[in-house]
Amino acid sequence: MNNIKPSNNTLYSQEIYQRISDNIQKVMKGQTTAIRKLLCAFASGGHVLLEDYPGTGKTTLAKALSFSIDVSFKRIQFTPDLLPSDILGVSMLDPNERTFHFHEGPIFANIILADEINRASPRTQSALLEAMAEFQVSIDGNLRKLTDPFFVIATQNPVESRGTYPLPEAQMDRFALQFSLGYISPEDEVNLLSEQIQQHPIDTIKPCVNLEDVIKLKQQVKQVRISQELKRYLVDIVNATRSAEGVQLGASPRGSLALMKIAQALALFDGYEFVTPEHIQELAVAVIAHRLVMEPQARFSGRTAASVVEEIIKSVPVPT
Amino acid sequence: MKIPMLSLGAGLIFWGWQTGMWIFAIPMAIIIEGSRLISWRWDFSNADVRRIANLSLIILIFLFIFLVIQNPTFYFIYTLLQWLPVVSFPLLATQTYSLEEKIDVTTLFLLFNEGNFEINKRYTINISYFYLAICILAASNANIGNISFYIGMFVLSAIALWSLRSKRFSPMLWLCFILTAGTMGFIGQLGLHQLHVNLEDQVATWYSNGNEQQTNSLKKQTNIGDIGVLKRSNEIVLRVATENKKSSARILREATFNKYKGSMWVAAKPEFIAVESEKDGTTWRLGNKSANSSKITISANLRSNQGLLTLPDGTFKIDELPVSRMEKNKYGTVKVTKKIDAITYQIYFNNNLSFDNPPIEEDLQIPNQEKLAINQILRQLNIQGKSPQEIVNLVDKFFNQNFTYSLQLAGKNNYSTALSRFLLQTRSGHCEYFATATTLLLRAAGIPARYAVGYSVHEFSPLENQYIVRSRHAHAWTMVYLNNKWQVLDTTPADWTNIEDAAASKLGFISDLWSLFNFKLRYIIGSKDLKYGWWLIFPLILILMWKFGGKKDVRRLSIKRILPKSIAKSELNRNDSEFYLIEKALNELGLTRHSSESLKNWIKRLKEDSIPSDLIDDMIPIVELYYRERFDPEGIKETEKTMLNSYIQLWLDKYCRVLK
Repeated sequence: MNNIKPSNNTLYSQEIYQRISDNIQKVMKGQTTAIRKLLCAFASGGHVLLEDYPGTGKTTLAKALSFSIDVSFKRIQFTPDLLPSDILGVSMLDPNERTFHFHEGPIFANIILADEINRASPRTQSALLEAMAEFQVSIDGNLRKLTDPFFVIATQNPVESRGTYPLPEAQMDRFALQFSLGYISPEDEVNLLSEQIQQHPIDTIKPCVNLEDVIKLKQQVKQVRISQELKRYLVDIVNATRSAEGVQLGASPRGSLALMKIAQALALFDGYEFVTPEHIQELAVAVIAHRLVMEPQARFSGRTAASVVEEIIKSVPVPT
Repeated sequence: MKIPMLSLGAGLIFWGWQTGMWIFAIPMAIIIEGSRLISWRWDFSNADVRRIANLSLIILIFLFIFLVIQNPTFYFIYTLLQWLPVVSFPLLATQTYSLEEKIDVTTLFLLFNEGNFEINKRYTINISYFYLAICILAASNANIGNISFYIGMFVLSAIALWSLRSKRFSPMLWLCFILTAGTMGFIGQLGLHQLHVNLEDQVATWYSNGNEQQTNSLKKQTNIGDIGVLKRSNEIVLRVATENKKSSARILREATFNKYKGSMWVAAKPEFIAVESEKDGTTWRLGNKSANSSKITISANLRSNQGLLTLPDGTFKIDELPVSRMEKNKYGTVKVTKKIDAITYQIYFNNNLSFDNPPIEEDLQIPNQEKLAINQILRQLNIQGKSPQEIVNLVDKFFNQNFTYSLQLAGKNNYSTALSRFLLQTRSGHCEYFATATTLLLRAAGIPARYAVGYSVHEFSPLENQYIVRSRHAHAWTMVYLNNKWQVLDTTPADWTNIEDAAASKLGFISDLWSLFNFKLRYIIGSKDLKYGWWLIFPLILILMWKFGGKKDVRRLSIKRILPKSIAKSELNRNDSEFYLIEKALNELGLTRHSSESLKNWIKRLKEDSIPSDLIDDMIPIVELYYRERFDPEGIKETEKTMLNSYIQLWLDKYCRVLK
């Protein structure tokens, strides 16, 4: 049954994905699924929130991605005294020309790693989040478009809570995906050690695709078809979170939108021209769970948002 | 709320000890307590639990029917209660060996069946404590009657409560209190028992005023001379079905006596002779066949497997009565013996005939202490020179004009006997007075007479479409020997039935319904056609098993949940592709797909469950093509569609081959 051939465009996009994925895997050992998640958020134009412990490779992952596709990369370490201008940039007076000259902040890069985003004050956080939602910043009353692709990888430390400003629920919604890298297997860790004796592999990593390829990939994601029935299935899942027990606030339509885009990207990566139910189910937890606000009782009884979403996926009948 | 270790086993053993059902109790206790040694558990879905609950229900129903047949009185309830631990055992075993160690209450009720419940509304309970309570309840019904039950119950309750005690107080204090409570309970139940015994005595005294339930063929103690109100029970003792309403017998005789002494009638020298049945064993001939006969069918209940038949006068043939032995005495009293208490028989009779033996010396005897009053009345009646027929009419008229019916028992007061007082002073009484007085009066006048007891048939039940005869319809009358034939003479005022009915309880219809239910049930089970009808229950069981058993599916470790209806609906508009044939085929093998599982995940799971079949591998390309047809809005070409169908056909062919 070799007649099920994807079109050339799809093959091409799949190849781009494979190339980037392989390239990142040179650096990130044993993180295939994390790379897949990261790339599908990247290709679908969403942002990623990594909740993970220090030293698990968050920065490396972001760097490897940016090096692989030859785009600019900036890292912002969030601290309580960080100001919006530290992110967006600042207009400075040029004494010679007697005009204000805009000094671009780190946000004017293609890939941004916002490290420990919950350490900055809400004011600073919202400056970043506006940029994430609208792909633009307003500085001194001027709108400045950000360059495409614009991709934010924010990280949070799940353990420390002293001196942090947890992201408001509304702002959690801006992230397409939340996931964690987790610790890798001991074998992978041994490999990692032996490879880094001489030099860090990230230094040798070479770009494997160019900017055009990436933009084309993003275009291709939008071309992936999805049937009415699957849209309904997807909406049913999101809808069920709004009436689920223990959930105070369910996922928004923005959540549905993000889930659809992620499913499209996954379908493309797998060489499909259309979305299948598996693609919706695959990352539904990562897309939806962080958008839910749980009731305090449910939280205390150990019910997590992720378990709620998993239960919903297990209960909503899938179209076959 | 976990039950303390071994307490369920102890409860079961206790139950087995009290009821003697060791055969069940020991294996059950081992099964339940063995769960602590066995580490594996099943994952039961709600549907499974529901099936097991249905199993328990079926056991209960069959037990109920069986016990009702075995013991048609209300006391079968006690036996039923004793069996309760067996009935509910499947549920307990399910809980013990399930992952959750809890049972969803909603599955136990048929009303909540079929998922009209919301997904998260599950009321789970641990039924261990209920089960322990059931064991104690069942043990209590064995009613051994010694202290062992109380001690056992107390110890079991104490063990069950031990884990629930408040930790604020020391265990010693708790023990003291529970012992105090136990002692108080013991004293209390002794008091209750005393009260019960007293009450029973009271009831016995009160009840003994009423009629003796079973008529003795040799003697009959009358209520003559007692004081108070005659009270008889409303219980239905006979059912009389007639061919047409008019031809019915008004009076059914049970026994006849001829010797009166001190308010008791005795049958002197009854001389019972065995009656031989005809060849079929159910037809009994008591006299010569008569041309002008009527037929009635009587349904009655024997007590302790033997009793007297109630027959109309002139009965010459009894049909369809499968008794093991029948005897008849010379006064026309018929005694039968049968293994089952319920009897139904057809009677052919002619009221104008009489098969009783001619009068003997005893039929003219009058006790000395009654002679004074009898002679006084006889003088009033002025019977000199009159024919026996005229005397009988005179006596009948005398009672009709001067006497009234009453349920008040007057006693004897200053007179030598109660009968004398009845004749000379009160002139009111119940049928026994009338019948006794009439018999003795006629004897004094030189006419042979006997005292007969039986029932009056006058209440037609529209509900059952036949006559019903209650215990309080019991009647007594005189058999008088006129024209060489025994004839009925009933001098009791005709309005006695109305007075009796007025005195009856207004709530009698409830017991009537229960009685009818019992009667019908016995009738259905005891009838000839259904003698082997028990076998019909097996198809019924099979049907039930099919209904509740569902498909033979292999259980996978996964949890099925009830789905919200609105979402479940979307499953209905599924594509009309032939792919569902494959799914159906695999379903038949027990490889079911969960409704929330996509096809590819399903295939993956089947492979992970190591179902070694290339059939599963063959499905992958089919699913790929099918997905395109199903989920690609652009769809597939006509040629691809036929190809998909042919692939599916190929797969199905292969499936059939593999299966063979």
